[in-house]
Amino acid sequence: MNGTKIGAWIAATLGTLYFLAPLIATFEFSLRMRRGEYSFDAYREVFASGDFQASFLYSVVQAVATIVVTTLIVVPTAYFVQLRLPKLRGLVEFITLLPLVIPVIVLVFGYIKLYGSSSILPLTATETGSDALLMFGYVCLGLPYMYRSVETALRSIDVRTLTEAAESQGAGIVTILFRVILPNIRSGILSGAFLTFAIVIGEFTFASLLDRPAFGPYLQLIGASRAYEPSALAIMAFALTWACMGLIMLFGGRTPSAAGKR
Amino acid sequence: MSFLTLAGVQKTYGANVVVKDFNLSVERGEFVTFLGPSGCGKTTTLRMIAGFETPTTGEIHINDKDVTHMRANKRAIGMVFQAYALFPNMTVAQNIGFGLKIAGKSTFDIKARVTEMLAMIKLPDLAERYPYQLSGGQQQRVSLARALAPNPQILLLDEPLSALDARIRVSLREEIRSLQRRLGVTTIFVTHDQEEALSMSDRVVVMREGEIDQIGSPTDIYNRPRTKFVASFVGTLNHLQAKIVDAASGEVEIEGHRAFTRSHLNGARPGDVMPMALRPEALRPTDANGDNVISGTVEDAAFHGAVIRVRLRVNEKPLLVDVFNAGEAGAPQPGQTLNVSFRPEDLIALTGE
Repeated sequence: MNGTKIGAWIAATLGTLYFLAPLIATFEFSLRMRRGEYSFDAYREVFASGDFQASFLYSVVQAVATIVVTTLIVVPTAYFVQLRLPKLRGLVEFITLLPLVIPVIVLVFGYIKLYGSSSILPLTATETGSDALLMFGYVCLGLPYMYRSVETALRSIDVRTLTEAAESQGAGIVTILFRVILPNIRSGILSGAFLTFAIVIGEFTFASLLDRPAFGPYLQLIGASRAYEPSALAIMAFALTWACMGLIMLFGGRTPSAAGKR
Repeated sequence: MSFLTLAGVQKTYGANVVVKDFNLSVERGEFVTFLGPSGCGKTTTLRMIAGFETPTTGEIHINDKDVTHMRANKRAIGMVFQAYALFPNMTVAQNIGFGLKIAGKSTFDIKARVTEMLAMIKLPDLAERYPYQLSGGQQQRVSLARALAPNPQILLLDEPLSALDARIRVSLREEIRSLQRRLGVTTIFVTHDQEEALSMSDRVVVMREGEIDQIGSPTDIYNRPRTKFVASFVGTLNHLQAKIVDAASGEVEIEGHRAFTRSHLNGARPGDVMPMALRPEALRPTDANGDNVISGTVEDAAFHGAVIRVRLRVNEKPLLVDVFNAGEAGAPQPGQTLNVSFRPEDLIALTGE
């Protein structure tokens, strides 16, 4: 083994340890709830908690709604930018990147000021309004990821020719979008969707400042008041994120043609 | 009244004029080919007929109806693309049935029509395959079936054979032509391949820099090219400078040899020099001397199978001659003197640029 290879191995081992050591320690700690022996008591406690179920379910519903709305906004936008307005690509990319540049705390205070109880559109005055506002906030957060995934998928197919082929067959724009374009960029939408899901499930700032019963604030609350459960929740959150990443790799690796196979 | 009419059609992108004053009438059931080099505006014209581009000025009429500003999906046009453009998420049957489904046909009707189209393109067993499971030739056949399934008013073919290998290209072009004749569908075909244009079309429209250079039957285009461009773009050509002796009788002088042409010399005066052309296959080796005979030295002979292409040097200028491969007789040898004769009707005067 030459020097370069040894160096590479050392770097890889150090990197792996840097990420895995705290995770293993957290997992080990989460099993210590019962004195003197390892058990899954902390996990059992978490699952038995009504707050866990309610907040997790709330965040899952928020994530699904976010994914649907983001897809409905992003797919037609990316499609028309690619097909009819390629000159706007730079501007749209810049806009979709803004949520990564502007801190979430700034966004949420802007929202509260714009949609507060004394504004023209007092969304925060009602529960439903606040839920909707939270979802729209999540749409903003998910925008950079969803746009990039969808745009990459659109670039991998011949959007113009497929659109023209469908038009020459008599199809209107809605049919083309839903029956020709969408099925062929499914892998891109799924990648964006899983990333959005992972972001929404653990998001804290938006939900906390809008006072919504989401999973993020629940994690924070448990972390502040319990010993072993936060570790169990951290491990579960990691597992969930990894599952999302695994699904992205699974669907993202498919070609449009193979992905279209039923 | 013609079935398809393009009247004064022009297309500009900013200051760039892509199609200039395009006028064409196509009869019902006719097969017309737009032929020209890349960037000559042939595809843009086709796309204007399809409705994917709108003319800057001029009008397009299909079956007596002004469709200039009509959306593409309302024109009832079938289009075949160079890149096949099959929907990757749909099976062959779903691709072919797509237009019928959009038109609101019943499942029974769609199934029957798809079966009929699959039999027509000779791929009856591939209904459940996906496009990525087909070869290029098969994909283009399916694309043709998809375009024809809803019984379009006009079939538009945008270089459909360019992406295929040579053998498939020849067999598919014969198939397209025979299908077109059988169905009687008015067809516009775009290509830069003169062999395709000449072998498939009823009429050929030769285009250059956005303008029509010549419209005519394949025989007209090949045998009576009106411009230098058409003559050189379609087939191989010997360019000659002919000195006019007597315009009325068609007498000229080429490299010191007396010759006659049947082309109109348009009031040329004796002594004028006019560009003329001779096809290599119009020249025949001869032992005779006299009018319409040119003498030269063999420089090279290239074997092409049925034909041997001989390069002669006549007064330091090259002259290509195609002679049939006569087997045992062998090819003319370099250095040998060869006399070649031609008919007056084969000496073409190139009056236009």
